Amino acid sequence: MEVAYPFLKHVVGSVSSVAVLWRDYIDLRHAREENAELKGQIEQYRRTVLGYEERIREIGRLQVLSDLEASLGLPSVKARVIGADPTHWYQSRILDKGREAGLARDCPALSADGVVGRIVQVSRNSSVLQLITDVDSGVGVLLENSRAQGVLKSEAGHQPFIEYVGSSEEVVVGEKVLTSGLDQIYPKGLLVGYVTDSKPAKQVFQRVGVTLSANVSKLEEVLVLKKEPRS
Amino acid sequence: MANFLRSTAVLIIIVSTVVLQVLLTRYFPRLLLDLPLVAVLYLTMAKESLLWTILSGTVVGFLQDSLSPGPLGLNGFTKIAVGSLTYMANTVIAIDRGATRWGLLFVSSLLAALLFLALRILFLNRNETMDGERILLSGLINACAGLPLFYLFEKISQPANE
Repeated sequence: MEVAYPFLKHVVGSVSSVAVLWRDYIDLRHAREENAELKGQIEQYRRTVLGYEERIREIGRLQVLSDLEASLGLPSVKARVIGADPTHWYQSRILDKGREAGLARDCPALSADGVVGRIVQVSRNSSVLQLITDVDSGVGVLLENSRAQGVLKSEAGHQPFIEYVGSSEEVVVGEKVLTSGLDQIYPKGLLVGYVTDSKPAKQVFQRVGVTLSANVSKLEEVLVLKKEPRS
Repeated sequence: MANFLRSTAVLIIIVSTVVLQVLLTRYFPRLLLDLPLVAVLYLTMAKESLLWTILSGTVVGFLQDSLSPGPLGLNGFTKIAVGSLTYMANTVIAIDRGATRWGLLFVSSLLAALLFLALRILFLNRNETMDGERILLSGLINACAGLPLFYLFEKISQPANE
């Protein structure tokens, strides 16, 4: 017994060490697999959270549009921007709503911050929105304080401006620019932007620089006002 | 059958360039690349047939105009005219070399931009302000992006054994 004890002790010790090592190895293998699986799950949860965050932001934006819709009290449709102009000559967006949703040519479109444009082409389930920054666009506007009227125009790569404001009109920088309603497209009193500067133009007019209240280059959803049927 | 498949691939290229352009400009509103024009020029150079130029220019132009606030026909006319000029140039100059292709793409892009503006001034009575820098930049972008796109189009429209 005394002779066998040290030998047995070492053998048993070695065997149990190997067993522990083997168990650790198996655990490590499982841990590695588990780790990879957990990493995958975390990635999946992260994507889900990002999706939810994006959805929350979208709901927030739609809520703002719903509030705007309620405050205006006019029949309207919320539409999502699904594309932009396929040429770089025009400033337009493609919307996911069309004739079926009640949209028609010349329906004005707004964002939460102000006027963004009007519908120029309508198909059954989509429409083309011409932005107020397009070179062919024109919006009848008036200045909030001076009540001077003019037409908001845009030039490629330049800041929008108001044409046909009389040179005798007193224009204040920072003054609100509102729709005048005279173009019979945009209802009167909608916010378009703010006056930034004014300089003399041809003949008896001045050219009034405007910074738009809505960021038309980052539009995602818009509120399109339906046209009231003419009696 | 092979011809039919190749023609189908070409049609898919044409339509997908317009769709891709719509999606790209949705996220990059200041993008100056004109993918449909590059596709028309590719077909003009690859097919060496005026019929393909007219057909692709008409389809691409019609698709672009139908998704734009501009009048129908403006883009189609521009693409057919520039495509036809490229076709004529193709009969005179060998365009196998990358540099020649680049030059042809650049000049064609400039011509397309100038013709488009001229048509707007002549037929729509618009007061266009010519943004030379923008037109040049657009030409450079189209020419630089056009070369790898040509290679890609070739891969798509030609069978693997060729």
